Amino acid sequence: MNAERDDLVLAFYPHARGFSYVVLEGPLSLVDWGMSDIPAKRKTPMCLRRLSFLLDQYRPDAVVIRQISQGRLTRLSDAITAFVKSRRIIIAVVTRDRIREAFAYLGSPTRYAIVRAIAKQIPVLAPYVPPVRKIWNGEDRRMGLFDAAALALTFLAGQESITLMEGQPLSVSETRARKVR
Amino acid sequence: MGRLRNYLRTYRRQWHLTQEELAFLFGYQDQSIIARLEQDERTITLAVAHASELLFGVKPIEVFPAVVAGIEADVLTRMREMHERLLQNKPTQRTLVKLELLRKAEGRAIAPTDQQQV
Repeated sequence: MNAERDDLVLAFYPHARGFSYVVLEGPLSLVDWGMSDIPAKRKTPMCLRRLSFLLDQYRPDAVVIRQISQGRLTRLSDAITAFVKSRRIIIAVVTRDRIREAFAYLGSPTRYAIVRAIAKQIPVLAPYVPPVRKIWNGEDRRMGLFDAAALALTFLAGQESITLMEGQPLSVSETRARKVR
Repeated sequence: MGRLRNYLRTYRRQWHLTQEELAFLFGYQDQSIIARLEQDERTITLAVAHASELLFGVKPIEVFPAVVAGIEADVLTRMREMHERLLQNKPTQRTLVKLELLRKAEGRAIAPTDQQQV
């Protein structure tokens, strides 16, 4: 990866309903983000088609996905890994434990605590923070967006030896303005 | 400088604007123009560059880095050509003023320049 410019990282997070993604340029500069619901029967081809579009559009330095070793998404995860490798792009697989390590400054963080920490660091995502889930409710689809952001931030924390911690949040324009100056 | 050629989509989404809303603000009736601007499929006009600066409060180079860098590179090339031409003749007072302009202009260039200095 190039040391003179910030790495462009695409975090792609497939889940039961579809997928979420974020594109980060450096640890705090959010370039793009999105979530998509996909019918279960057509999940793999549609996910790969959308991933292909994102790879063409952003040409990222690395694609980050979560580790899925069992369950219904295993085949999709393997397909994504093979597809990204075929495009000769670095693929990083991040485990749940690694995410917890990256956000260790929060103590023993729950997923919701990580969501709030991400929203604080990347204020653009703040409007997407879902309400606290009641046990009788299903998971909010917006959680996937923060899971994708957590993947990207965890990868960048390991890549650039930066430590995720609470501090002054930076908006996209502020971080970009710093780079241009 | 940023990695992407164009950050219009990033700034639009940062402020949660739809393509339709941005088209309205830029004075276009068709939202597909915004899609084409975001995909770098349409030339950035001065009106769009200025409207972006006004709307998002950032300089055009932050929204359209590749376009601005391209313009700068072209102008710098022509400046060097002109510099060489000016040095071929006997320097008059007006020539010195022009050389001073070219020197200052290169200092104002935002995009990184190559080794050759004016």
